[in-house]
Amino acid sequence: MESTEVYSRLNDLFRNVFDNDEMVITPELTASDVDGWDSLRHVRLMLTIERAFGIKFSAYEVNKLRNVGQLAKLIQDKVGVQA
Amino acid sequence: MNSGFDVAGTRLYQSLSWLPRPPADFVARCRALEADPAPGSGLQALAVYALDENDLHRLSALITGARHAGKSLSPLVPFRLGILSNATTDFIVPALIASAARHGIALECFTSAYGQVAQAALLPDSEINREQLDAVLIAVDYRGYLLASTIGDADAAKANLEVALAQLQTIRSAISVTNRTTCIVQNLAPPAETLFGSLDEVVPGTPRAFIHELNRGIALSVAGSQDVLFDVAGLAATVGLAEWHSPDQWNLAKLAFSSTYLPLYGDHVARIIAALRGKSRRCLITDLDNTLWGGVIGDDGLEAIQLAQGDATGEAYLGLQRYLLELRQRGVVLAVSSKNNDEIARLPFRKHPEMLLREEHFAIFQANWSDKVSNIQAIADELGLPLDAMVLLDDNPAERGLVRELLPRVAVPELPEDPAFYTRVLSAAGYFEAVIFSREDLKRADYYQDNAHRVTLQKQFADIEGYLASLKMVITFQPFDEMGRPRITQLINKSNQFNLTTKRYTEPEVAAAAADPDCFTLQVRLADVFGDNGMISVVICRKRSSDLWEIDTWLMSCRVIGRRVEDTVLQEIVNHAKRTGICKLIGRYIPTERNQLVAQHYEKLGFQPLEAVADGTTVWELDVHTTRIKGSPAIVRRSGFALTEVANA
Repeated sequence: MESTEVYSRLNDLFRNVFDNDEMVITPELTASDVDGWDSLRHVRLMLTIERAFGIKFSAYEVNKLRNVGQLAKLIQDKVGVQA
Repeated sequence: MNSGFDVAGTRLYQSLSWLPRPPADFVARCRALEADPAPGSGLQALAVYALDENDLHRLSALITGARHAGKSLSPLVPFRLGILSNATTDFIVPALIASAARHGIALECFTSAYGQVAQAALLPDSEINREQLDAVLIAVDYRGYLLASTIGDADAAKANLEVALAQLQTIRSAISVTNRTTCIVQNLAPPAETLFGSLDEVVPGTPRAFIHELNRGIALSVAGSQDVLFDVAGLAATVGLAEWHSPDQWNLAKLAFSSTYLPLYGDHVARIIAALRGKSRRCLITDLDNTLWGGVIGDDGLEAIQLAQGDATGEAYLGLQRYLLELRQRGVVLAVSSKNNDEIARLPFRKHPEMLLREEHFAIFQANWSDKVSNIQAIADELGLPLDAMVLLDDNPAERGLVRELLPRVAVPELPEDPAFYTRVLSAAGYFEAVIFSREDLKRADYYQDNAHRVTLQKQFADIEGYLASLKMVITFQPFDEMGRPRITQLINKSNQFNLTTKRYTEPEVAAAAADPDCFTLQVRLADVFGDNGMISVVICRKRSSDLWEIDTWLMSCRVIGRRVEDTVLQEIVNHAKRTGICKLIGRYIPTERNQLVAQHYEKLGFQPLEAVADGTTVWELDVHTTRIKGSPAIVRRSGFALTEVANA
């Protein structure tokens, strides 16, 4: 899957989870930049991404993530492997 | 048709497939409700869709926001629920609040701190005990019963069981004493993992054996008490333990079960709450053709409908009939609403040897050609039951859509193509959830019995036109061609009810009509938002003089009756007639045992009576230049005609 496609689908999922139609994600974006990105929202986001892409994250992988860029890369790796 | 509908395996339960998919503008409709001063009905209308976790979250935030803003949530009925859990409740609360709106409940939730089940129940000033609650959900899973290992020791295992049941009883008693309220007690879904394997069921004290015993003990303790059971073990077993439990999600966020099943869990709790408030449904109205049997009784006849043991399709319908009989036995009232002739519709109930359902099982039997909305309203009025006590089972997506649109309080489950799944879908929808079963329930269906009597419709429902427009019908006209010939011939030889002359033709005769310059032929297809209905009408006009066509054959599928498609077909005939210099159309109605439905067909379309023959045949004429016929709200497409400018005739 192309990086742009991952970002485009990921952006839709962020908008859905954060209930914000204007939200635009960038690789540098982190949880502290976004209102309401608390631990509960984070879990819901991860579960939503898992379902949408048909992939699974381990707790170790989730804990290592520092920004959206790393998240997108992780998705791309998993989708690529599982495709 | 119905391509988005998936009932395979766990998909039915994950996606709540009996509910319609949310519309494309779901988010926009949520936004619009934010400004609504009285959003109760709007919230319920949005809750009836098959919502996923994020949709439920959005709707729940709307409901909570409206309550905080002091808005009335009526007609939703308020309900205050306490939740005690050893897992995190942050994910289930939004699912419960939004699902409750689907069942007509304005739910407010009060939770204990994580893991503080006993404290919350036993301390008189805990939040659970301070609030005036309507019920408390005790949602403790197997991880919440931490007991010493007793593997292989039957006595110790028994002692453990007694301790666990006593703990639970203490919590329940504390809540009922301080709160004077009902407990909804969850039983335990066993973990997917075993210790020995099959031997777990045999050796005392293994987790499996312990949980089975405990679940039995909980069920026995609930019976006859003021508390009710929530059978989570049964729910988890239905979807599979490995599906239900998600070890990674437990580790990540202490989710007691996989978040995939939050919508299902929410709906199940909401059903119990609705049942506690007396809001369970009580009457099932069923369609007949392709719902209770395979095929169309009016066209296929008694011998050809699919309803036999030994035939896979027939057995699927028999399976549904058996389930309806069982529902009736436990107190659900049954009624029929079918587009059919009354006499013909009753035939299988009276004469078919394999039918399990008989007329005496139905309180009311509505077989007529009026719209289902008027009929369902009449059934509700006659039974004295509210519309939100009704469920309609119907294989036809357009009928389902019509009833959902005009009678939103009636529950109308989606049905899959394959009738083998009808029973499962109906059961999964849980419309008849009950929290108590009494001797009176066994007699309830009889109480409503009146030998399947018919109700006269007081008024016809007016606003069908708006619904027809929303169907976005596309009607395609073509002359007979080689490709369509087998289906045309089949319809000519099979259609009985909407068939003006019931003339039967062989395939060579159909080909000859197509080639005859004095014949005008039409094959008509219909598509709508629900999918492609395929070929639904066939017309043959024969030139009798230089300016006159006689309509030799006109038939239509009963599936599309009530959509004024026949008006559009006449308009098309008139257009072609004008183009070829025809001034008059002659229509003939030849009565048979089956086609009474169209006795007034030509009269309704504005034809003038010309002649009535002794055998009951009537002859009609129409001046194509003065007719004011107006087609149904549909897009018309044409192909295969010699002159395309007919479109503008």
